[in-house]
Amino acid sequence: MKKLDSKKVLFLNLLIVLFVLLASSGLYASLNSQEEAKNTYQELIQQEDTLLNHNGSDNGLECFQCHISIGSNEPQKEVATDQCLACHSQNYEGLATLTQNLEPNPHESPHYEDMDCTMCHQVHQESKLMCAECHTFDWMEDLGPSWLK
Amino acid sequence: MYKIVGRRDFIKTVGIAGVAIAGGSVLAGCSTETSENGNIKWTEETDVLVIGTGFAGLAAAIEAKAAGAKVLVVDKMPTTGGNSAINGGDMAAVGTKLQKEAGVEDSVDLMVADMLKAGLNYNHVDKVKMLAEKSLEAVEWCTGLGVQFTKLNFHGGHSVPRTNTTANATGADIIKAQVAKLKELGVEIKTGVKLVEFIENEAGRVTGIEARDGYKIGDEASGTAVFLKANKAVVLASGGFSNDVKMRTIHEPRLTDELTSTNHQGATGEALREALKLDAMDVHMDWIQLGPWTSPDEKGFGYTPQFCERLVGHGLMIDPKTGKRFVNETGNRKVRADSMLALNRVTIVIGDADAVARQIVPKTLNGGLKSGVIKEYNTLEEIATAYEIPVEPFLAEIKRWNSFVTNGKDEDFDCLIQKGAGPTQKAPFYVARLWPKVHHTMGGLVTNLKSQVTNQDYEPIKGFYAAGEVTGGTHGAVRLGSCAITDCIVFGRIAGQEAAKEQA
Ligand SMILES: Cc1cc2nc3c(=O)[nH]c(=O)nc-3n(C[C@H](O)[C@H](O)[C@H](O)COP(=O)(O)OP(=O)(O)OC[C@H]3O[C@@H](n4cnc5c(N)ncnc54)[C@H](O)[C@@H]3O)c2cc1C
Repeated sequence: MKKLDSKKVLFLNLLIVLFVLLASSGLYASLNSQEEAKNTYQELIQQEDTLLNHNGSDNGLECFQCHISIGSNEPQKEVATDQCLACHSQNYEGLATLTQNLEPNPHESPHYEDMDCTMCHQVHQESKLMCAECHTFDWMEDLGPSWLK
Repeated sequence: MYKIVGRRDFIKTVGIAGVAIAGGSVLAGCSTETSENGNIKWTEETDVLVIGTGFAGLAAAIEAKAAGAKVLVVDKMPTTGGNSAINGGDMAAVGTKLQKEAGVEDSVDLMVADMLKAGLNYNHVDKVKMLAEKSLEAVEWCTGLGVQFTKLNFHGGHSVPRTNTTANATGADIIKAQVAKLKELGVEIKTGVKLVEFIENEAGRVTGIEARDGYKIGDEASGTAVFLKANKAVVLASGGFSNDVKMRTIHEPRLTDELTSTNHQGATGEALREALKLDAMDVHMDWIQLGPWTSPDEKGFGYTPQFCERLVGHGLMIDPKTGKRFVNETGNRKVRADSMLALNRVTIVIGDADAVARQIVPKTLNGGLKSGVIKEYNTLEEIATAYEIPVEPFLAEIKRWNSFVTNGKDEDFDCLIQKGAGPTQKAPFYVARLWPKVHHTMGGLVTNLKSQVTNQDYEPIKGFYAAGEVTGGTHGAVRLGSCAITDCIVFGRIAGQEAAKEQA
């Protein structure tokens, strides 16, 4: 498509309305109360083979501790990096010290500053190393089972 | 040209309906809809809208802002920098401080001649001249942003060393400095915003774009529709399409998914194809460069290019099947990659202890050795065994090469024996395997010396500029190594300066 004429616009209109309706009603339909969400989460982490187990901090962690919009406190699908940093080191410099024994340090990329955590780290599926797109580093072999090999 | 009413003429703009939507608040998306009579309700407005956060886009943004325009920069990826952030930090220029310190004699004419020779004279000469003339200024502009160039290097196809390499040997050194400058200037960069299509008004002027905000690479339904208005102009700096297998195989059917690419994941051609729908003209689309210095033993760019490319003219390349050299090691990328595809098998590059100590930075050597893409051998015979090379012809070939090095003249392939090069004889010997990867798309949009995009009537498209790898013509058939950064900075800056001059 290059530009819009009125017919196409009308169609797009409808599409957008549909999308908004679906997104606001459907997305969190299964999680419509925080209590329910907590239960769902507890159930999910009890199933084996689920990656939901958030590295030991599973006890008492609720969906909305991560899936929340920082400004409005509304549920949100995306997890903001600030939300991760709130529990993990507060800032990027802190993160880098956590992995300072790795050479090169994955939290000190020469290519990118202030990357979103979710570019590598996932909780509901296997995590994927972005550096591995182009590089092979020693420490990659020692990664745990939640990492895509 | 006859224009169908309804396609072009029905678009009327009705001003600003809302501000940018925060990623999470889905309902705010309602305010970005187009109204029922077809008018566009803009989500956000600016003077100069830049698409792409590589060297070219960020250079344009800095210049447009410096000239007083309001600027917004968008990129579909979650990070800034596209290919520029993973680039090797090599920038060609004439007459730089590093060249002077090394006592290298160079001239604008020589750089132009080198680029035209490599480009098989397909290059648009006015562009090449502009690039070479402004190359020093471009390097100094980067230095002014705080970029440090610390080493002068040689790249295959150039007559002299004229490649200025950044301190960390990555284009990210430049991208970070550009991003910092934009922050200082108060220019907003929005990542995760993908251009979907351009919007033109009745007069055929590009007035903005439709995009998806909150876009996640690979998920075309992600994000919400936004309409971004550019009161002065849109600058397209969306990079090349090396990672767009469907598009590249249409232009160059040899480049199937059998070949991987050195490029970032977002190096696809949708933005370029949208521009073509504005009647933009394209050129050289089937001239797609393969990097001849990549290894099949690692993903992406990896360590091997900075091993291989520093060794050419000091070491040699061997076809394991014959034990003989097969190409001018310092020849341009096309010559080398084509010869590898013609052989249709993996070849090797060899450097002895002296050449490697002289040429290869420890980071590359140690990294490559650890990951196994570079191997160390105590004798040439060991190399022959490891790669199943017929040993007698191989040893004879090394002897022949060594005599060329001693005499300073390669009688077989006319390889440029580098200053300080010595015979390949001292253990340990280092080897990497070579197989080409899709690296650069020379083709793209036709632009004039003001970086305006040319239409099918040879006229500039109003309100529409482009710079960087999305444009074509400058490099002709073959881009010389380290000329892309220069191209992006020179024409990106011009695009920003010119876009800012447009009437709002
Ligand atoms: C590994 C590697 C090493 C290299 N080394 C060198 C070197 O040392 N020297 C040299 O001169 N050249 C080098 N090159 C080539 C050079 O880096 C590129 O040609 C150059 O970076 C292109 O810059 P650009 O600004 O045009 O595009 P890019 O830097 O690729 O930026 C384009 C941006 O546009 C975005 N974009 C694309 N489509 C859309 C869309 N639809 N909506 C929104 N955003 C979009 C992309 O996500 C990307 O971030 C190298 C290339 C690679 C891949």
